[in-house]
Amino acid sequence: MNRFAELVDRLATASDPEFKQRLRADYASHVGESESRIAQDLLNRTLTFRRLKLSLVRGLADSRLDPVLFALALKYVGDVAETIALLWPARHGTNRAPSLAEILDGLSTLGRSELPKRLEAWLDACDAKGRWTLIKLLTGFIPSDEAFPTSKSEQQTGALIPAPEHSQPGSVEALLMYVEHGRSRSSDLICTFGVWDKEKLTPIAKMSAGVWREQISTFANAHPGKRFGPVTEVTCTPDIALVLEVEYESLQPSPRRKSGISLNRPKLSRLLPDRPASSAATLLDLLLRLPAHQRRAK
Amino acid sequence: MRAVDILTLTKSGLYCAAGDFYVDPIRKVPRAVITHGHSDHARAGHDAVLATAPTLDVMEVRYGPKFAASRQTACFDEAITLGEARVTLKPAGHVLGSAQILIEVQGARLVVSGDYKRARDPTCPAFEPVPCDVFITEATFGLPVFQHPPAKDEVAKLLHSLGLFPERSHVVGAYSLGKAQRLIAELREAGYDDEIFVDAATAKLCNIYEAHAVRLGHLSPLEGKLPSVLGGKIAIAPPSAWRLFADAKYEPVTSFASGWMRTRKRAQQGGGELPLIISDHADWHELTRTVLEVSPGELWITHGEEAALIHWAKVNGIAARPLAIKGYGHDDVPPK
Repeated sequence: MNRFAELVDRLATASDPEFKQRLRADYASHVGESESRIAQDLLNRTLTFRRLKLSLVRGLADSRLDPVLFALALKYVGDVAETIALLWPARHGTNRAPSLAEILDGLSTLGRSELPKRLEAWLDACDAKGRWTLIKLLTGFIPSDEAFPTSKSEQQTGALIPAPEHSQPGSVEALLMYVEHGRSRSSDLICTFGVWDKEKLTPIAKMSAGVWREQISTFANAHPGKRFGPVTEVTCTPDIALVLEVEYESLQPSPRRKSGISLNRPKLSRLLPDRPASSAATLLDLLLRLPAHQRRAK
Repeated sequence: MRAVDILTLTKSGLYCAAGDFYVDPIRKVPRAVITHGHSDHARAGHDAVLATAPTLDVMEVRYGPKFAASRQTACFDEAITLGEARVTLKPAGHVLGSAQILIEVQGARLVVSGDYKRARDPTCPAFEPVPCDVFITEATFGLPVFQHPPAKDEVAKLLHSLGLFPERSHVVGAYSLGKAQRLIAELREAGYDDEIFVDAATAKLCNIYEAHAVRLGHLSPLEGKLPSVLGGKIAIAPPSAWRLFADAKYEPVTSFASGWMRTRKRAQQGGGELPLIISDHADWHELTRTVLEVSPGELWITHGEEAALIHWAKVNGIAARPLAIKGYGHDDVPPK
């Protein structure tokens, strides 16, 4: 994790694509192929570690830190995640910093209740930079490596870190835009979800509410917008909005759609009722998850 | 005499009536005791100056031979009588020649820390905790967010980058007194024996270090060198000179070495491509550890972030208060 954090920081300040490639290759030579593949997927945004709310990490920090010192530090630093990363008390004799593979494994095998304890151990073992990057990854920050392979020389050296040619399964936080009652006798509810495109919402997926039918219906009835025949718009303001997590198997470009992208096998995975509208993803977030050669400016 | 009455805060700075002298005065005074050579502490124009030999040398290089009407050299641990006060300089570990000032009046003891650090520095003797009734500590990095990593780890990052970008010059912004020489000495300890390029202002101060038996190895003047000559070399130069390194072919790896690089905002503002967290000031743990070791009856906290340290002292049962001395700046602030 520490090494990856260092890579993220250096990629952010290096200017030349060739320099960036050298940094990635150097990283790969130290961590091995499988670890560097995870790193590249994180950098390419085809993989996300987003699992936790910052408030949970904050809770862990509060149990270990003096509240007055934390408040003074936060005032100076201005960012909760960074303040926690900088203040987290080192525990000497803890294990070496976790690899990305170990973190990925932990995230996919541990239950929600087990995760906080493991996270504490990870934070104990990381350095400040590693802690910052880990907290940011877990709470939704995606490191940005602007230098996707583009030039010929990069494609050759790119063999060191294979770039994925297909977009991978992932999830996206979207907003409920419209609901529509099914035509058949079954009382199904069809929902349209959108993400932010500048200040507006753009629809990205339409699907059945499934098991979430009652909760979505309650929200839509309480906050109705305009009606278009059978379709009802749902209110979406900074304070009143329904954020949901939509999983997908892959992404692909779709020029005929307004969003320019389509989600393959979208599935509603959970409701995030306490999230503000601003926490939903942007269209750019999604487009950047496409392999570089499939991306095109809309 | 109570220790709290040994010094009073005046417009010119901390004044000792019993010995009729000032410590690091910010205005011209008849008699000054100077902790170290950084320009916010060591100013020109006093009548009489008492300081360590390297500090006096630095002042002469900076201000010329007439920086004071008279000067007196103090050795560490040598008790010097000034009026009714006894003054002893103790190593502060900040830069070469940096001293804490122990002032004793009728058995009461007060220590002015000056700037100090506890981390190892190959270029100057280590800080010595001195038991006292009142301890006046600096608090430049008096927030728990400031925890400086070992300097050798940061230097290793620089050398690793040099291996990765052997065609690019690596130019490090480092304060010309103290930081620059420490960085050079750390590089030498890490086994780097290639020539290191330094700007003229830094070179003058390096000469003082050499004269005081601090070996810095092969140094070359930076001025007049073409960027292409500097490829693969390390240079120490202030950020204002970084643009001189730009070469049509190879961009330099820029770096700023400072304790402020610990936070991302500051690192992004002025850290260059490879910010390094190297500081000559005590970090949070060094400050609190020092206060516990010195174990003063009363702690006065000056120039820096006082609130957190005062809270910490309260929690630890130590009487503490801020001491708002004006005129001391941070000596390694990166450009905005």
